[in-house]
Amino acid sequence: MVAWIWLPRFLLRAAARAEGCALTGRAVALIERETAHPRVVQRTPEAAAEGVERGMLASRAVGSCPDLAVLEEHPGAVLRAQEWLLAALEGMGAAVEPRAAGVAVLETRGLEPLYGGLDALVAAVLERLGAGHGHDVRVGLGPNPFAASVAARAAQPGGVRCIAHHELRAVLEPLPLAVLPNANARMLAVLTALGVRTLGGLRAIDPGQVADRFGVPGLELWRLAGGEDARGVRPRVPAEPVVETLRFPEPVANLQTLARAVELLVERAVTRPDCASRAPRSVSVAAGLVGERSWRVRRVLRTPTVDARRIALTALAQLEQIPAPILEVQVTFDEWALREVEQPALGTPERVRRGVAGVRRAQEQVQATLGPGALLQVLEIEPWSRVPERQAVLVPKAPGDRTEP
Amino acid sequence: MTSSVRRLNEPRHAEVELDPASGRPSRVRWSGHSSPRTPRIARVEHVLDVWYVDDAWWTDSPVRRMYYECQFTEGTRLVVLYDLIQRAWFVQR
Repeated sequence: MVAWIWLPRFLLRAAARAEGCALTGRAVALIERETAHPRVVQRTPEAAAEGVERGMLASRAVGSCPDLAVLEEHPGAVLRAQEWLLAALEGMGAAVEPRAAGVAVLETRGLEPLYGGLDALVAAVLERLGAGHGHDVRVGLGPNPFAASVAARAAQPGGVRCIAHHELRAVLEPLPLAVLPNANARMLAVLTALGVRTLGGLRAIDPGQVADRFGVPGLELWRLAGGEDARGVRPRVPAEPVVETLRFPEPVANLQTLARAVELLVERAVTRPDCASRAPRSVSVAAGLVGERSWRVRRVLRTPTVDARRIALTALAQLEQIPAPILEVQVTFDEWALREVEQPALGTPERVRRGVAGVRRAQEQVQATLGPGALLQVLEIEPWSRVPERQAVLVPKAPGDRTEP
Repeated sequence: MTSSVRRLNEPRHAEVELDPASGRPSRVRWSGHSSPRTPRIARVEHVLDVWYVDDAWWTDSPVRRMYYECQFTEGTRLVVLYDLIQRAWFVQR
Protein backbone atom coordinates (compact mmCIF):
# COMPACT_ATOMS: atom_id res chain seq x y z
CA MET A 1 0.00 0.00 0.00
CA VAL A 2 1.00 3.59 -0.58
CA ALA A 3 0.17 6.18 2.08
CA TRP A 4 -0.52 9.77 1.01
CA ILE A 5 -0.17 11.98 4.05
CA TRP A 6 -1.79 15.34 3.57
CA LEU A 7 -1.86 18.38 5.83
CA PRO A 8 -4.53 20.65 4.33
CA ARG A 9 -3.98 24.42 4.26
CA PHE A 10 -0.32 23.79 4.94
CA LEU A 11 0.89 27.16 3.60
CA LEU A 12 -1.64 29.00 5.75
CA ARG A 13 -0.77 26.98 8.84
CA ALA A 14 2.95 27.53 8.38
CA ALA A 15 2.52 31.28 7.94
CA ALA A 16 0.15 31.46 10.94
CA ARG A 17 2.61 29.57 13.10
CA ALA A 18 5.40 31.94 12.09
CA GLU A 19 3.26 34.99 12.81
CA GLY A 20 1.79 33.60 16.04
CA CYS A 21 -1.71 33.83 14.61
CA ALA A 22 -4.42 31.43 15.82
CA LEU A 23 -6.53 29.81 13.08
CA THR A 24 -9.15 27.93 15.05
CA GLY A 25 -12.61 29.41 14.73
CA ARG A 26 -11.39 32.48 12.81
CA ALA A 27 -11.72 33.74 9.28
CA VAL A 28 -8.10 33.91 8.10
CA ALA A 29 -6.77 34.05 4.56
CA LEU A 30 -3.28 33.63 3.16
CA ILE A 31 -2.51 35.99 0.29
CA GLU A 32 0.28 36.28 -2.25
CA ARG A 33 3.18 38.45 -1.24
CA GLU A 34 4.96 41.22 -3.07
CA THR A 35 2.40 41.65 -5.83
CA ALA A 36 0.42 44.76 -6.60
CA HIS A 37 -2.88 42.88 -6.50
CA PRO A 38 -2.45 39.91 -4.19
CA ARG A 39 -4.90 37.06 -4.38
CA VAL A 40 -6.10 34.58 -1.79
CA VAL A 41 -3.99 31.41 -1.79
CA GLN A 42 -5.61 29.50 1.08
CA ARG A 43 -8.25 30.27 3.70
CA THR A 44 -9.84 28.75 6.78
CA PRO A 45 -13.30 27.12 6.57
CA GLU A 46 -14.68 30.11 8.50
CA ALA A 47 -13.38 32.43 5.77
CA ALA A 48 -14.78 30.13 3.08
CA ALA A 49 -18.17 30.28 4.82
CA GLU A 50 -18.05 34.08 4.51
CA GLY A 51 -17.53 33.81 0.75
CA VAL A 52 -13.74 34.06 0.59
CA GLU A 53 -12.57 31.96 -2.34
CA ARG A 54 -9.14 30.89 -3.51
CA GLY A 55 -7.87 33.13 -6.30
CA MET A 56 -10.05 36.01 -5.14
CA LEU A 57 -8.42 39.45 -4.93
CA ALA A 58 -7.44 40.18 -1.34
CA SER A 59 -9.26 43.52 -1.44
CA ARG A 60 -12.44 41.77 -2.54
CA ALA A 61 -11.99 39.09 0.12
CA VAL A 62 -11.75 41.73 2.85
CA GLY A 63 -14.80 43.41 1.36
CA SER A 64 -16.87 40.25 1.56
CA CYS A 65 -15.61 39.35 5.04
CA PRO A 66 -14.76 42.48 7.10
CA ASP A 67 -13.42 40.41 10.03
CA LEU A 68 -10.99 38.57 7.78
CA ALA A 69 -7.44 38.32 9.15
CA VAL A 70 -4.93 38.38 6.32
CA LEU A 71 -1.50 36.74 6.34
CA GLU A 72 1.18 37.02 3.67
CA GLU A 73 2.90 33.95 2.25
CA HIS A 74 5.92 32.95 4.30
CA PRO A 75 8.19 30.71 2.22
CA GLY A 76 10.77 30.32 4.97
CA ALA A 77 8.15 29.02 7.39
CA VAL A 78 6.78 26.64 4.76
CA LEU A 79 10.24 25.23 4.20
CA ARG A 80 10.76 24.66 7.90
CA ALA A 81 7.33 23.08 8.30
CA GLN A 82 7.89 20.80 5.31
CA GLU A 83 11.22 19.68 6.70
CA TRP A 84 9.54 19.02 10.04
CA LEU A 85 6.90 16.87 8.31
CA LEU A 86 9.45 14.83 6.38
CA ALA A 87 11.81 14.48 9.33
CA ALA A 88 8.92 13.34 11.57
CA LEU A 89 8.04 10.55 9.14
CA GLU A 90 11.66 9.64 8.49
CA GLY A 91 12.08 9.46 12.24
CA MET A 92 9.53 6.62 12.18
CA GLY A 93 11.75 4.72 9.78
CA ALA A 94 9.86 5.63 6.61
CA ALA A 95 11.42 6.42 3.25
CA VAL A 96 9.43 9.51 2.29
CA GLU A 97 8.84 11.32 -0.96
CA PRO A 98 7.84 14.99 -0.71
CA ARG A 99 5.24 15.60 -3.43
CA ALA A 100 4.13 19.12 -2.55
CA ALA A 101 3.98 21.47 0.41
CA GLY A 102 2.17 19.55 3.13
CA VAL A 103 2.18 16.25 1.24
CA ALA A 104 4.40 13.26 1.96
CA VAL A 105 4.14 9.87 0.30
CA LEU A 106 5.52 6.60 1.59
CA GLU A 107 5.33 2.89 0.91
CA THR A 108 3.82 1.12 3.93
CA ARG A 109 4.91 -2.46 3.21
CA GLY A 110 8.28 -2.28 4.92
CA LEU A 111 6.94 -0.48 7.98
CA GLU A 112 3.85 -2.60 8.71
CA PRO A 113 5.78 -5.39 10.53
CA LEU A 114 7.52 -2.76 12.66
CA TYR A 115 4.26 -1.27 13.88
CA GLY A 116 2.15 -4.42 14.01
CA GLY A 117 0.07 -3.90 10.90
CA LEU A 118 -1.28 -1.20 8.64
CA ASP A 119 -3.85 0.18 11.08
CA ALA A 120 -1.29 0.57 13.84
CA LEU A 121 1.12 2.24 11.41
CA VAL A 122 -1.49 4.77 10.29
CA ALA A 123 -2.43 5.46 13.91
CA ALA A 124 1.23 6.06 14.71
CA VAL A 125 1.57 8.45 11.76
CA LEU A 126 -1.51 10.41 12.84
CA GLU A 127 -0.25 10.53 16.41
CA ARG A 128 3.20 11.62 15.30
CA LEU A 129 1.80 14.48 13.24
CA GLY A 130 -0.43 15.71 16.04
CA ALA A 131 -3.83 14.58 14.76
CA GLY A 132 -4.85 13.89 18.37
CA HIS A 133 -4.16 17.49 19.29
CA GLY A 134 -6.52 19.08 16.83
CA HIS A 135 -4.14 19.26 13.85
CA ASP A 136 -5.76 18.48 10.54
CA VAL A 137 -3.89 15.47 9.16
CA ARG A 138 -5.42 13.15 6.60
CA VAL A 139 -4.08 9.83 5.35
CA GLY A 140 -5.08 8.21 2.09
CA LEU A 141 -4.20 4.60 1.35
CA GLY A 142 -4.20 3.08 -2.09
CA PRO A 143 -2.38 0.65 -4.34
CA ASN A 144 -0.42 3.52 -5.92
CA PRO A 145 0.30 7.19 -5.20
CA PHE A 146 -2.53 8.58 -7.36
CA ALA A 147 -5.12 6.31 -5.76
CA ALA A 148 -3.77 7.22 -2.33
CA SER A 149 -4.02 10.93 -3.17
CA VAL A 150 -7.66 10.52 -4.14
CA ALA A 151 -8.27 8.63 -0.90
CA ALA A 152 -6.61 11.36 1.16
CA ARG A 153 -8.90 13.97 -0.39
CA ALA A 154 -11.89 11.89 0.68
CA ALA A 155 -10.60 11.38 4.23
CA GLN A 156 -12.06 13.23 7.20
CA PRO A 157 -9.83 15.54 9.29
CA GLY A 158 -7.61 13.36 11.45
CA GLY A 159 -8.87 10.31 9.61
CA VAL A 160 -7.87 7.75 7.05
CA ARG A 161 -9.53 6.54 3.86
CA CYS A 162 -8.44 3.44 2.00
CA ILE A 163 -9.17 2.62 -1.62
CA ALA A 164 -8.59 -1.06 -2.32
CA HIS A 165 -7.43 -2.23 -5.72
CA HIS A 166 -10.75 -3.87 -6.61
CA GLU A 167 -12.78 -0.68 -5.94
CA LEU A 168 -10.34 1.70 -7.59
CA ARG A 169 -12.08 1.89 -10.98
CA ALA A 170 -15.50 2.51 -9.41
CA VAL A 171 -14.17 5.26 -7.13
CA LEU A 172 -12.25 7.06 -9.87
CA GLU A 173 -14.88 7.00 -12.65
CA PRO A 174 -17.17 9.79 -11.37
CA LEU A 175 -14.34 12.10 -10.28
CA PRO A 176 -13.75 15.35 -12.21
CA LEU A 177 -10.70 15.71 -14.47
CA ALA A 178 -9.30 18.36 -12.13
CA VAL A 179 -8.09 15.67 -9.71
CA LEU A 180 -5.50 14.55 -12.25
CA PRO A 181 -2.03 15.79 -11.37
CA ASN A 182 -0.08 17.61 -14.09
CA ALA A 183 -3.19 18.12 -16.26
CA ASN A 184 -2.65 21.42 -18.00
CA ALA A 185 -5.49 23.87 -18.43
CA ARG A 186 -5.44 23.66 -22.23
CA MET A 187 -5.81 19.90 -22.22
CA LEU A 188 -8.65 20.10 -19.72
CA ALA A 189 -10.37 22.78 -21.83
CA VAL A 190 -10.20 20.59 -24.95
CA LEU A 191 -11.50 17.55 -23.09
CA THR A 192 -14.32 19.58 -21.56
CA ALA A 193 -15.22 20.96 -24.99
CA LEU A 194 -15.38 17.38 -26.22
CA GLY A 195 -17.85 16.58 -23.44
CA VAL A 196 -15.37 14.66 -21.30
CA ARG A 197 -15.74 15.79 -17.71
CA THR A 198 -14.90 12.78 -15.56
CA LEU A 199 -12.11 10.27 -15.27
CA GLY A 200 -14.53 7.60 -16.45
CA GLY A 201 -15.24 9.67 -19.56
CA LEU A 202 -11.55 10.03 -20.31
CA ARG A 203 -10.94 6.36 -19.74
CA ALA A 204 -13.72 5.50 -22.19
CA ILE A 205 -11.78 7.11 -25.06
CA ASP A 206 -9.53 4.86 -27.09
CA PRO A 207 -5.94 5.34 -25.83
CA GLY A 208 -4.66 5.56 -29.39
CA GLN A 209 -6.91 8.56 -30.02
CA VAL A 210 -5.80 10.18 -26.77
CA ALA A 211 -2.17 9.71 -27.78
CA ASP A 212 -2.86 11.15 -31.25
CA ARG A 213 -4.49 14.24 -29.80
CA PHE A 214 -2.42 14.93 -26.68
CA GLY A 215 0.75 12.89 -27.06
CA VAL A 216 2.54 11.16 -24.17
CA PRO A 217 1.19 13.53 -21.46
CA GLY A 218 -2.36 12.71 -22.55
CA LEU A 219 -1.64 9.01 -22.47
CA GLU A 220 -0.26 9.31 -18.96
CA LEU A 221 -3.44 11.04 -17.83
CA TRP A 222 -5.51 8.30 -19.52
CA ARG A 223 -3.59 5.68 -17.52
CA LEU A 224 -4.04 7.62 -14.27
CA ALA A 225 -7.78 7.91 -14.97
CA GLY A 226 -7.88 4.11 -14.90
CA GLY A 227 -5.92 3.98 -11.64
CA GLU A 228 -2.64 3.00 -13.28
CA ASP A 229 0.19 4.98 -11.71
CA ALA A 230 3.48 3.46 -12.74
CA ARG A 231 5.60 6.17 -11.17
CA GLY A 232 5.57 4.69 -7.69
CA VAL A 233 7.14 6.26 -4.63
CA ARG A 234 10.56 7.86 -5.07
CA PRO A 235 11.75 8.66 -1.58
CA ARG A 236 14.24 11.38 -1.01
CA VAL A 237 17.67 10.43 0.20
CA PRO A 238 17.90 12.06 3.61
CA ALA A 239 20.99 14.21 3.66
CA GLU A 240 21.87 16.77 6.22
CA PRO A 241 21.61 20.14 4.55
CA VAL A 242 24.55 22.48 4.88
CA VAL A 243 23.29 25.76 6.30
CA GLU A 244 25.32 28.88 6.87
CA THR A 245 23.71 31.93 8.45
CA LEU A 246 24.82 35.47 9.03
CA ARG A 247 22.95 37.90 11.27
CA PHE A 248 23.56 41.56 10.67
CA PRO A 249 23.83 43.91 13.61
CA GLU A 250 21.22 46.11 11.97
CA PRO A 251 19.00 45.90 8.87
CA VAL A 252 20.92 45.96 5.60
CA ALA A 253 19.26 47.44 2.57
CA ASN A 254 21.93 47.55 -0.08
CA LEU A 255 22.61 44.89 -2.63
CA GLN A 256 26.41 44.99 -2.49
CA THR A 257 26.46 44.18 1.19
CA LEU A 258 24.05 41.34 0.74
CA ALA A 259 26.01 40.01 -2.24
CA ARG A 260 29.22 40.04 -0.24
CA ALA A 261 27.51 38.28 2.66
CA VAL A 262 26.16 35.58 0.34
CA GLU A 263 29.61 35.11 -1.18
CA LEU A 264 31.09 34.75 2.28
CA LEU A 265 28.47 32.20 3.31
CA VAL A 266 29.00 30.18 0.14
CA GLU A 267 32.74 30.21 0.77
CA ARG A 268 32.11 28.92 4.27
CA ALA A 269 29.58 26.30 3.16
CA VAL A 270 31.85 24.68 0.58
CA THR A 271 34.52 24.16 3.23
CA ARG A 272 32.22 22.08 5.41
CA PRO A 273 33.10 18.36 5.62
CA ASP A 274 29.80 17.50 3.88
CA CYS A 275 31.25 18.91 0.67
CA ALA A 276 34.31 16.66 0.75
CA SER A 277 32.68 13.77 -1.06
CA ARG A 278 29.66 15.41 -2.65
CA ALA A 279 28.76 18.61 -4.40
CA PRO A 280 25.58 20.68 -4.13
CA ARG A 281 23.16 20.55 -7.04
CA SER A 282 21.25 23.59 -5.91
CA VAL A 283 21.70 26.55 -3.64
CA SER A 284 19.02 28.35 -1.67
CA VAL A 285 19.31 31.85 -0.34
CA ALA A 286 16.87 32.82 2.40
CA ALA A 287 16.59 36.20 4.04
CA GLY A 288 14.88 37.25 7.23
CA LEU A 289 13.44 40.69 6.60
CA VAL A 290 12.34 43.47 8.88
CA GLY A 291 8.75 43.14 9.99
CA GLU A 292 8.99 39.37 10.62
CA ARG A 293 8.88 38.69 6.90
CA SER A 294 11.03 36.31 4.93
CA TRP A 295 12.23 35.80 1.40
CA ARG A 296 13.74 32.77 -0.29
CA VAL A 297 15.01 31.73 -3.67
CA ARG A 298 16.33 28.38 -4.82
CA ARG A 299 18.61 28.12 -7.83
CA VAL A 300 19.70 24.92 -9.54
CA LEU A 301 23.34 24.80 -10.55
CA ARG A 302 24.17 24.00 -14.14
CA THR A 303 26.51 21.27 -12.89
CA PRO A 304 27.09 20.17 -9.31
CA THR A 305 30.19 21.90 -8.05
CA VAL A 306 32.04 23.01 -4.94
CA ASP A 307 33.52 26.00 -6.74
CA ALA A 308 32.48 28.83 -4.42
CA ARG A 309 32.64 31.46 -7.17
CA ARG A 310 30.36 29.56 -9.51
CA ILE A 311 27.88 28.79 -6.75
CA ALA A 312 27.92 32.41 -5.60
CA LEU A 313 27.30 33.66 -9.15
CA THR A 314 24.24 31.44 -9.35
CA ALA A 315 23.06 32.39 -5.87
CA LEU A 316 23.34 36.12 -6.55
CA ALA A 317 21.11 36.10 -9.60
CA GLN A 318 17.83 37.18 -8.01
CA LEU A 319 18.92 39.10 -4.95
CA GLU A 320 17.69 42.39 -6.36
CA GLN A 321 14.14 41.11 -5.86
CA ILE A 322 14.41 41.17 -2.08
CA PRO A 323 11.67 43.56 -1.04
CA ALA A 324 12.82 44.90 2.34
CA PRO A 325 15.90 45.48 4.50
CA ILE A 326 17.53 42.28 5.67
CA LEU A 327 18.26 41.17 9.22
CA GLU A 328 19.61 37.73 8.48
CA VAL A 329 20.79 35.87 5.40
CA GLN A 330 21.11 32.12 5.05
CA VAL A 331 22.67 29.94 2.37
CA THR A 332 21.59 26.30 2.18
CA PHE A 333 22.82 23.35 0.15
CA ASP A 334 20.20 20.62 0.41
CA GLU A 335 20.43 18.68 -2.83
CA TRP A 336 23.53 16.76 -3.60
CA ALA A 337 25.41 14.84 -6.24
CA LEU A 338 28.52 12.75 -5.87
CA ARG A 339 31.52 14.95 -6.26
CA GLU A 340 33.62 14.29 -9.31
CA VAL A 341 37.34 14.61 -9.34
CA GLU A 342 38.17 18.13 -10.35
CA GLN A 343 41.12 19.06 -12.47
CA PRO A 344 43.12 21.83 -10.83
CA ALA A 345 43.65 25.03 -12.74
CA LEU A 346 46.81 25.25 -14.83
CA GLY A 347 49.37 27.95 -14.41
CA THR A 348 49.21 28.80 -10.70
CA PRO A 349 52.80 29.51 -9.67
CA GLU A 350 54.13 26.86 -7.35
CA ARG A 351 55.49 29.36 -4.84
CA VAL A 352 52.10 31.06 -4.54
CA ARG A 353 50.46 27.70 -3.94
CA ARG A 354 53.04 26.82 -1.31
CA GLY A 355 52.61 30.17 0.41
CA VAL A 356 48.84 29.91 0.51
CA ALA A 357 49.06 26.32 1.77
CA GLY A 358 51.41 27.44 4.54
CA VAL A 359 49.06 30.17 5.70
CA ARG A 360 46.17 27.71 5.65
CA ARG A 361 48.09 25.26 7.80
CA ALA A 362 48.89 28.04 10.24
CA GLN A 363 45.23 29.01 10.30
CA GLU A 364 44.18 25.42 11.04
CA GLN A 365 46.72 25.16 13.84
CA VAL A 366 45.56 28.42 15.44
CA GLN A 367 41.96 27.29 15.30
CA ALA A 368 42.79 23.83 16.62
CA THR A 369 44.64 25.39 19.56
CA LEU A 370 42.49 28.39 20.42
CA GLY A 371 39.08 27.33 19.12
CA PRO A 372 37.02 28.17 16.05
CA GLY A 373 36.40 31.75 17.16
CA ALA A 374 40.10 32.57 17.31
CA LEU A 375 40.37 33.79 13.74
CA LEU A 376 38.19 36.57 12.47
CA GLN A 377 37.59 37.89 9.01
CA VAL A 378 36.69 41.45 8.06
CA LEU A 379 33.46 41.75 6.10
CA GLU A 380 32.69 45.13 4.61
CA ILE A 381 28.98 45.72 4.90
CA GLU A 382 28.56 49.42 4.21
CA PRO A 383 31.97 50.73 3.15
CA TRP A 384 30.39 54.01 2.02
CA SER A 385 28.65 54.68 5.35
CA ARG A 386 29.31 58.04 7.01
CA VAL A 387 29.21 56.26 10.36
CA PRO A 388 32.58 54.48 10.67
CA GLU A 389 31.46 51.56 12.83
CA ARG A 390 28.86 50.62 10.25
CA GLN A 391 31.41 50.14 7.50
CA ALA A 392 32.71 46.68 8.44
CA VAL A 393 32.13 43.82 10.84
CA LEU A 394 34.25 40.95 12.13
CA VAL A 395 33.03 37.45 11.33
CA PRO A 396 34.55 34.24 12.71
CA LYS A 397 36.44 32.40 10.01
CA ALA A 398 35.09 28.88 9.60
CA PRO A 399 37.33 25.99 10.62
CA GLY A 400 38.67 24.37 7.47
CA ASP A 401 37.86 27.44 5.39
CA ARG A 402 40.04 26.98 2.33
CA THR A 403 39.37 30.32 0.76
CA GLU A 404 42.14 32.84 0.31
CA PRO A 405 43.64 33.49 3.73
CA MET B 1 26.20 27.15 11.50
CA THR B 2 25.31 30.66 12.65
CA SER B 3 27.92 33.37 12.87
CA SER B 4 27.66 36.17 15.33
CA VAL B 5 29.27 39.28 14.01
CA ARG B 6 30.63 42.29 15.80
CA ARG B 7 31.34 45.72 14.54
CA LEU B 8 34.76 47.04 13.77
CA ASN B 9 35.83 50.40 15.06
CA GLU B 10 33.16 50.94 17.70
CA PRO B 11 33.42 54.38 19.36
CA ARG B 12 35.09 54.38 22.79
CA HIS B 13 34.03 56.63 25.62
CA ALA B 14 36.22 59.65 26.24
CA GLU B 15 36.42 62.64 28.52
CA VAL B 16 36.92 65.87 26.65
CA GLU B 17 37.85 69.37 27.78
CA LEU B 18 36.67 72.11 25.48
CA ASP B 19 38.47 75.24 24.44
CA PRO B 20 36.26 78.01 25.92
CA ALA B 21 36.84 80.30 22.97
CA SER B 22 36.10 77.91 20.09
CA GLY B 23 34.00 75.28 21.87
CA ARG B 24 36.17 72.59 20.27
CA PRO B 25 38.11 69.79 22.03
CA SER B 26 41.34 70.92 23.65
CA ARG B 27 42.22 67.91 25.81
CA VAL B 28 41.04 64.29 25.44
CA ARG B 29 41.24 61.42 27.89
CA TRP B 30 40.33 57.89 26.79
CA SER B 31 41.23 54.23 27.34
CA GLY B 32 42.79 52.23 24.54
CA HIS B 33 41.94 48.60 23.76
CA SER B 34 45.48 47.49 24.55
CA SER B 35 45.67 49.11 28.00
CA PRO B 36 42.15 49.80 29.27
CA ARG B 37 43.32 50.52 32.82
CA THR B 38 45.82 53.14 31.78
CA PRO B 39 43.94 56.01 30.22
CA ARG B 40 45.68 58.11 27.63
CA ILE B 41 45.59 61.87 27.86
CA ALA B 42 46.44 64.03 24.88
CA ARG B 43 46.33 67.75 24.21
CA VAL B 44 44.83 68.85 20.92
CA GLU B 45 47.20 70.89 18.77
CA HIS B 46 44.93 71.44 15.80
CA VAL B 47 41.39 70.53 14.88
CA LEU B 48 41.93 69.52 11.25
CA ASP B 49 38.35 69.03 10.23
CA VAL B 50 34.84 69.27 11.63
CA TRP B 51 31.75 67.64 10.23
CA TYR B 52 28.24 66.79 11.30
CA VAL B 53 26.44 63.52 10.59
CA ASP B 54 22.69 63.13 10.86
CA ASP B 55 21.90 59.64 9.62
CA ALA B 56 19.47 56.75 10.04
CA TRP B 57 16.87 59.17 11.41
CA TRP B 58 14.18 56.92 9.92
CA THR B 59 15.25 53.95 12.11
CA ASP B 60 15.07 53.11 15.82
CA SER B 61 18.76 53.93 16.19
CA PRO B 62 19.32 57.33 14.63
CA VAL B 63 22.79 58.88 14.51
CA ARG B 64 23.44 62.58 15.25
CA ARG B 65 27.07 63.35 15.82
CA MET B 66 29.57 66.16 15.59
CA TYR B 67 32.95 64.87 14.48
CA TYR B 68 36.31 66.58 15.10
CA GLU B 69 39.45 65.24 13.47
CA CYS B 70 42.18 66.19 15.94
CA GLN B 71 45.93 66.28 15.72
CA PHE B 72 47.52 65.96 19.14
CA THR B 73 50.71 67.56 20.34
CA GLU B 74 52.38 64.15 20.36
CA GLY B 75 51.81 63.94 16.61
CA THR B 76 48.99 61.35 16.44
CA ARG B 77 45.61 61.92 14.87
CA LEU B 78 42.25 60.74 16.12
CA VAL B 79 38.63 61.46 15.46
CA VAL B 80 36.76 62.76 18.50
CA LEU B 81 33.00 62.84 18.30
CA TYR B 82 30.16 64.24 20.35
CA ASP B 83 27.02 62.11 20.24
CA LEU B 84 24.10 64.53 20.35
CA ILE B 85 21.64 61.79 21.29
CA GLN B 86 23.61 60.17 24.13
CA ARG B 87 25.14 63.56 25.00
CA ALA B 88 28.54 61.95 25.42
CA TRP B 89 32.03 62.15 23.94
CA PHE B 90 33.78 59.30 22.13
CA VAL B 91 36.96 58.66 20.20
CA GLN B 92 37.16 56.64 17.04
CA ARG B 93 39.94 55.69 14.64
